[in-house]
Amino acid sequence: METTNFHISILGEYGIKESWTKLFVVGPLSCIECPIGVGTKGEIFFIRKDNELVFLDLSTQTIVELACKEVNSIDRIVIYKENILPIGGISN
Amino acid sequence: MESVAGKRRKVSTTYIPNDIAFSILSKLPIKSVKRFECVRKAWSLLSEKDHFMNMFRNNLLSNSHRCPYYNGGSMLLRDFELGKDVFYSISGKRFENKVKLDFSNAYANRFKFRIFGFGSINGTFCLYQDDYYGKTVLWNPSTHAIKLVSLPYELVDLSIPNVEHFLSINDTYYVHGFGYDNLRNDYKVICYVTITGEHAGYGDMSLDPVWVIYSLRTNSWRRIPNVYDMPCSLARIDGTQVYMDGVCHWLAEEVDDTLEGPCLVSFYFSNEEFFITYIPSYLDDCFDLHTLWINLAVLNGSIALISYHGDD
Repeated sequence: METTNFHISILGEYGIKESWTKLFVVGPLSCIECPIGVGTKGEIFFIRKDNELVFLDLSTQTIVELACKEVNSIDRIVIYKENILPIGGISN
Repeated sequence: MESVAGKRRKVSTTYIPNDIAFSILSKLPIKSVKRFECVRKAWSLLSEKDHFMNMFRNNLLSNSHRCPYYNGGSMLLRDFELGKDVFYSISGKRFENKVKLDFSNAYANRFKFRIFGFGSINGTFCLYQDDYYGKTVLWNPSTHAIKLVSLPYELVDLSIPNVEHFLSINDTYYVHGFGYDNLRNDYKVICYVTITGEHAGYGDMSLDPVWVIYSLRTNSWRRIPNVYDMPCSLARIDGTQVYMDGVCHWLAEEVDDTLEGPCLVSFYFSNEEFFITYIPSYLDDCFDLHTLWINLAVLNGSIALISYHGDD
């Protein structure tokens, strides 16, 4: 059976190759169709093979189903923090 | 009284037990942990010890105070419905709140846009056209404002010696960075431009690529000086760029022999200098054939490399 792993590493210091530190290897996981993005707490969002939108919670290492799971052809998820300032700030 | 003071002297000590020291160290950024490893023998190689790294991981995931940009934020989801791009904001513990965003504007559905990078910066996204001609817009969903970033054709032409000898010039634009320059209170877009031309005498030829930077404040582009050796990425992989604290980062694959291997490039808006951090193959063969997906993220104030590997 085809299985796959997620690897998560963080960088300590810019420019220092040895300062990369591996934090997690999560897997094997066999239910992933394709990953589509990462959240603020390192949640990895992906489309599952049954075509549902789910995320991997790194703190519990479990897969959580999203309440809104209807998927048409979602291909990307990114972080969004609302801000009502005009583009480019107040001075524009 | 004397005997109490005597007892107190006996128990007073400057010794901090290792478990308390480790608990404190595990709350520090990884950069500090690495530096403190040389303080005492018991602290050496902390980042390779399971017990310590478990504490460190728990703290890293439970504290989001070092990532103030996105506190209380939501996620933006791009879907494709009835032939149109649609964007949703989703939030809540299990993302039960789903709001469709208004993306009606002059560019909607005329171009297929991709979302650049890891997320919004002060509420603004950088979207770029899904081909190589480089239509780029800045979009704030909360205010519905959308701003077209016009392309630096004249600037690129100026970079070509004897441009008048060319019958045609073709530019290909690769967006590498989008972020906020806090020193100048300005938003910037960084682009790598590859150029080919049809020379009147010699025919088709490729010309020297250029790095250019856009300033929203002046609404203009200029060349970035002294970065001819800055590694670029021609793979255009979604999410292999992040912005944090005035620095843009992108992953660069090994395009030619000038690099030791894949690396992270960190570009400072303040002084336009860059750092190269190679990614050791023992850490992550992130551009390996078995790697199905890679992304950069910000994890509690650290740059994180996340990859997804298939079976060998």
